[in-house]
Amino acid sequence: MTTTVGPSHSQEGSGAREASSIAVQVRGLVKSFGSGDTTVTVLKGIDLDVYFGELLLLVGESGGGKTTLLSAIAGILDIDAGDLDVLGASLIKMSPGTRTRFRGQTMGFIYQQFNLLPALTAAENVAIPLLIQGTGKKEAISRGRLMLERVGLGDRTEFLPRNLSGGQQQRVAIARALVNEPQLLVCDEPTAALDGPNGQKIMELIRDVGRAPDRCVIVVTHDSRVFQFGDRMAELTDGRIVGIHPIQREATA
Amino acid sequence: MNYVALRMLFGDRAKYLMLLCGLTFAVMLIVQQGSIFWGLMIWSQSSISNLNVPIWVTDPGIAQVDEVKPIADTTVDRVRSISGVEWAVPLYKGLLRARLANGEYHQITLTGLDSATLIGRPAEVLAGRFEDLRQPDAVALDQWAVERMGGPKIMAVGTVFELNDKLARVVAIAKTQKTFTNIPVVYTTYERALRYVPRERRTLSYVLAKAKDDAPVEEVIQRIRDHTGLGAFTADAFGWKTIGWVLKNTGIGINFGTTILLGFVVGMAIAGQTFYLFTVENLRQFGALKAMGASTTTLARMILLQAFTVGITGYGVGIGLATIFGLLTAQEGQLPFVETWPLLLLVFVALLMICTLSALISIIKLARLEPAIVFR
Repeated sequence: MTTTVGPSHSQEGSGAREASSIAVQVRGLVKSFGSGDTTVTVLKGIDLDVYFGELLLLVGESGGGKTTLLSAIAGILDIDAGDLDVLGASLIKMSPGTRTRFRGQTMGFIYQQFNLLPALTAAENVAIPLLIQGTGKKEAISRGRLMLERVGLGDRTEFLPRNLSGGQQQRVAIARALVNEPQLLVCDEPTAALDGPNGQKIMELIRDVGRAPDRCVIVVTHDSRVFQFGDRMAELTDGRIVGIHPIQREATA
Repeated sequence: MNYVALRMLFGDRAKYLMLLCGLTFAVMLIVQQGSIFWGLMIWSQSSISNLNVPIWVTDPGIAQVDEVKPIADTTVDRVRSISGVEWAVPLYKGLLRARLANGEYHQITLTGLDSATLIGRPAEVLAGRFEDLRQPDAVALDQWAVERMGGPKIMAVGTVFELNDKLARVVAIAKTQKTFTNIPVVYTTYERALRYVPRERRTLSYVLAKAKDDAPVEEVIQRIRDHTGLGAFTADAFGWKTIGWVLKNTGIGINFGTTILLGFVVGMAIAGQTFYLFTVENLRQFGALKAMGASTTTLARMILLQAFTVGITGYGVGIGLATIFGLLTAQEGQLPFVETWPLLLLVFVALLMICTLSALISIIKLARLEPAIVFR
């Protein structure tokens, strides 16, 4: 199979879709850092729709605002201006406490550096989102083990992160991101710390387990080998979306 | 999340042990120094507690028990005549030098008890019979006198020595609590004590008394003060007065207080710094927890649980080590070491303060932490 990036569309590259299928709607999003003369505006009026059932890639040059946009969408970074509706709720209208609970109930996170707790076993790490939501320890760890089986680590449930390879650690992180059945999966450079084959496997996994009709996945990446796993690609340059492209897959002989 | 907090704490073994050592050291230092301090304070009023009498009548300007200010010999009868007094007896207390058979001199505290009743005698006798004090030239020693004056081979029941060129024969050895100055105590009768010491115009050191069972002690004491113009105290009050004098005049309180404060500061510094480092090094993990939906309150609870877990463990180990120190070094009353529950409670409160302040520094850091750190 080969991958080609289609022509740029003015807004959502996949053409017209029903409004009800929008998972994330960003309008006029502005975010700056610093103050006074040292203020740097990282996002300069972003408009973006992300749909249920799709895997959207956020690409662009370093410092273009990809990670800042992802953080804003995930509700872990306050924005200066604009509207931000995620899974039908306005993030900017939520109190910090409500937003924290909302994140825990609806989102899953996959990080470049995995961010596993080194003192916890793989199963315990996966159980963390459930423990945060108040699930009992036994049940949470049991569900963690089941999720590890789904990502192919059924025989590594009691391993500490330091005894797992980078690819295996990222699988644990994926299992952790999915254990509470989130509707929005946000991934920041999930393959950056992995070699080529491991990165491919991880992206296959994210595509397979992450993409479902009631779920959407946003992946920040600069790794071109990852492009084939996306449905659309939004390109950010200097704090603006300069193009949103559908990714077309063609079967090869 | 308590489970996660504890796993995080115990998982970083090096930091956990460093935290534990810091807090254990602080607790041990505070308990050890506090217990020795209190032991010294107990010793400073041993001259009162060893005699075990309820009321002490003294010179009105008395500052402490070992600073004797003689009172008129007629005072005993005057006190006896006051209503509510069941009995009153004289007590002599003064410093003298003893010359042993081997030619050695030792300073001693001579204590002269009422010969009829021997009121004020030590409760426990280790050798001989205290009643034999009524025999000619008889004296009794406390066990510290035996130790200070050459040991049991030199000083035992039957040994003779001189007090101011007059013969003294040991008839009993009593068990008492060591005094602050650890000067050997020689007991004899009041009348014989006056024969041993050089003649003075006033020889009565104290009057020991007891209120009748149906008379309130404080009222009787006030009546003694009013009728005699002298000082009168319960044993407890006189003991505290003596402790107060020692604290004010010896600098011992400042010395021990400084050490105890240092223990607190060192414990605070080690625990605070290590805990802060522990939090900073786990900042990304805490950020990840925040991103995954853990509130600041949840994280604060985790930090407090970690702080108090290591704190209470350190408290237990520290007290254990201080107690072992006390058992090993303060055996048989050789060193002042008195561990009391108010001290342990005080140390517990101090430890809670150390843990809370240490945790608070980390909690403030976490409260300000933007979960977006995990994407940087």
